[in-house]
Amino acid sequence: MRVILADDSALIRDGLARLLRDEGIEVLESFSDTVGLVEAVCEQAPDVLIVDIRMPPTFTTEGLEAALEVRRRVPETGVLVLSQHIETTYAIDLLADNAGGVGYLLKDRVTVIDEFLDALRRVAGGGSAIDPEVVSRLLRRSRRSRPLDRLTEREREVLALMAEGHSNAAIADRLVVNQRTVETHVSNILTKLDLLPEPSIDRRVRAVMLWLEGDDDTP
Amino acid sequence: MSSPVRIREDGGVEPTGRIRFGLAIAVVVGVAAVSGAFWLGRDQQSLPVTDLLRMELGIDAGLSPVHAAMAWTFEIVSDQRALTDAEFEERLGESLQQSTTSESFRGEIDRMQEVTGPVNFIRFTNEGGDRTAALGIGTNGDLLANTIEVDALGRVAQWQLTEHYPGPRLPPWQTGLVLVVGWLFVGAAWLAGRSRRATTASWLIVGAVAAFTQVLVLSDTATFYLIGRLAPMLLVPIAVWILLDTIPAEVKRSLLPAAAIAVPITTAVALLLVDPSRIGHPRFSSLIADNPEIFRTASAGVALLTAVTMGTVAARVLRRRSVWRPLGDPAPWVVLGTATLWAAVGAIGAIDLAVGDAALSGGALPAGWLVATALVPIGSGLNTVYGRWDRADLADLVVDLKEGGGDLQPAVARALGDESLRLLRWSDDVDGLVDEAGRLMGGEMGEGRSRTHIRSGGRGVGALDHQASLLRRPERLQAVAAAVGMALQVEHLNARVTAQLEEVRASRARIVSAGDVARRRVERDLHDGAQQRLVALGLLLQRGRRLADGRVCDEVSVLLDQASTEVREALRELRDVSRGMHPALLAERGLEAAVEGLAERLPIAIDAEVTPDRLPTEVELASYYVVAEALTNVAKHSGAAAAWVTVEPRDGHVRITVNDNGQGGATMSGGSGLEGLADRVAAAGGRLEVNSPVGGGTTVEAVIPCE
Repeated sequence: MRVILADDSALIRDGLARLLRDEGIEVLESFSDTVGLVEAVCEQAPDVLIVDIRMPPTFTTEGLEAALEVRRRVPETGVLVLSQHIETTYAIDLLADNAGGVGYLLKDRVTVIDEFLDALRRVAGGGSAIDPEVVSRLLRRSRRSRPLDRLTEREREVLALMAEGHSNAAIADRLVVNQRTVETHVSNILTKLDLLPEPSIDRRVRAVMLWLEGDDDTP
Repeated sequence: MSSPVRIREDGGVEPTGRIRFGLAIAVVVGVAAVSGAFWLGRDQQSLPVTDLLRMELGIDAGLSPVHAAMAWTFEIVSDQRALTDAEFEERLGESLQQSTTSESFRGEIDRMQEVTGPVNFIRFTNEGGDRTAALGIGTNGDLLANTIEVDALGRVAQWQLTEHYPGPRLPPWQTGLVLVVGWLFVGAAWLAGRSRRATTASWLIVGAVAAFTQVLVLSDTATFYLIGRLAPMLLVPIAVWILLDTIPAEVKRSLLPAAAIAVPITTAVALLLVDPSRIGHPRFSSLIADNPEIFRTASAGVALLTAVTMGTVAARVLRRRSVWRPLGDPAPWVVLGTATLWAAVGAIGAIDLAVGDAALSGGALPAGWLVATALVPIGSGLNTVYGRWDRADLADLVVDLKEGGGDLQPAVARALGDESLRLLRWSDDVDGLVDEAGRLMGGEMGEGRSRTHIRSGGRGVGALDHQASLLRRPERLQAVAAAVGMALQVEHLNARVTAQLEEVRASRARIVSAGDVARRRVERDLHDGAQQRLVALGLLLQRGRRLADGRVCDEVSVLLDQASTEVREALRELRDVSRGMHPALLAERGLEAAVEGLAERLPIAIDAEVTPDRLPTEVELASYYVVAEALTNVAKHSGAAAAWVTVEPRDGHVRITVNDNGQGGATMSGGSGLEGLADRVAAAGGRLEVNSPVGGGTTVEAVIPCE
């Protein structure tokens, strides 16, 4: 796997690069800001761009802007956005184009290397990796929304894992249940939420996201 | 404020329409009184009976007025009731014996006897039957030859008895004095009106009309005559009021008790002076006429009381002379003189009545009173012209100043009657005097101009640029300057307090702003420093864990995993701290996203309606902190299941409302964080209110101005 890395902190940039190389992932280039970043991504076509959201010069959302730009120009390249703070509104931005290959994780997640690599691979494979924090907040945000109230506790758990980007099998593993049980849950969830069942994982997530997003406008 | 005068173009003042109208009425009444006095006076001097007789008989030949007058005469022998024949004879006898002067009835009869021979007496009774007269007719006069003529004479006599009842009239010199007093009142009213003393002018106008009305005593008609006689009763209290208004307040206060007695007493004196019994009018005098002793005693008592009261007034004015003499105000002298004169009139009247003869006074009693009356408008006029100042002007000015505002200058110009007056204020900015437009004014003066400097609170606060002629009345100028000085001082203090308040507000806003900057810097430092290092540390630990796997003992791997967990926990805690420091999302995405972000993190259902417009940074930040602190309180203390947030900008304000369905009972004090929040909102120029009845949920409402 080939990645390009962008983080203004040299410590993290180097640490992450070393860690990735240790895992056999090729780090094509490292950036300490977003200057020339998008062009480099276009040129070198990595599988994933790993980018910190907050970078010079304004230390606000430069990384996010660069990631969105990459999404527009080279949709086949996955983007994994890292941040010290998770904001659902940025997650919605990233997921807005309905394409796969998106990740948005707390920076802390890199300290659990297996989960991080798992997420990275999902993004590289056109899937999604959304921080559990985002998902739980989105669910909390939509607690006041009626349709979600219809879900059972178990269905909520399944929906949360779906939203994070896990496959039915992975969900079954985590919840220690039969995969068919999970499939039943998923189908129930989508029915209860008036959504047609979709085969692909990321489309299911997007459906969830879009529904959550759309809920803002139609309370 | 409606001013009783307006400024004329040339800067002088003139009375308003109300006073002018009153003056016009007084003048018309005055002219009517003068002409009436001449007309009635002429009438009085003629011989109306003879004239009427002549008209009645329609003849002139053979009956000259003198002849006619000598041919008959009459005398009222009863004005109480009809008489029997015997009583009539008895009264007639008394009348013929009573007096022997040439003008008396007896004298007339004697003359008639010389001219016309023996006189016959005929009894006449009027229609009301309460008066009987004896008509004496010369027996060999031409009149007797014709019964028709006798009848006519009878009708004349009848008319004379019923309607045309002559009484004592004003002597011409008294009539003149009455008119002079009236015109003095008119003049004083005009002066008072010109000097904006509207109330005094009004009283003087009423006084003038009352004075002129006295002329009606010349009328032969009983009703008019009585009105004329009663007019002074109205005049007396008016006169006392005007006199008291004329003297300085300090002296007046000491006189008020005396005045309270003097007014009714002098009214009584007026009644005494117009006592109907003195004119012998039976309709009004029966009681007194039948009891002359009671009348005399009572009148003497009233007169004495008048003397004492007015003497007291005079004594008081005199005793307080240390107050009014330095003022150079002539009015108290006039009051003193008038009171003394009144006291004298009262005393003389009392002695007269006690002795039972007009021994002392003769005709001087009413004259003295008239002179005393005349002193009233004279005193008032003197006060207006030479008085210390016009109290009304100063009172108006003080009211104008109290109204405040920037238009001090016209008010001062009006008070001093100088339209060209310019009010200058001391300006610390330019270290000099500036005019209303803020232009610096130098020390140079134009021709006929003068400048009066104003000090207040121990410092120069301004100056008046005015016509030099105002210096002729320095007390008035100083009084106005003192009043203006107070106003300028207040203005100055107001400006200072306002500036200080603004400075405090700005300083508070700066403190808050500095705090915000510091918090943002701390957040940034945490982000770029500790947080990044901890992540890097986590990465190192992970790499170490990878290296350790299978190569070293399992305890190392377990320890490294524990270390990783600790690092993540530290990162989580640090993240909460850093988030509380400064809401990065607010600056990036605005209030709506930031409030959503807050709501997501709290374990309660929150419905937020935030109008998505961006607001000025400090307003946005203050609004955010209101929502954040209120929601934190809801989550921590209220036990609420749900909360509602509304942020809506409206009419230059943002209204932030956070309410919940919890237990209520929240207070601003007690470290709830609401107190500090209230300070922050106040620093942004807004206000915060907490409504939290126990058991009724909590509502935090903040209104913050935003332009």
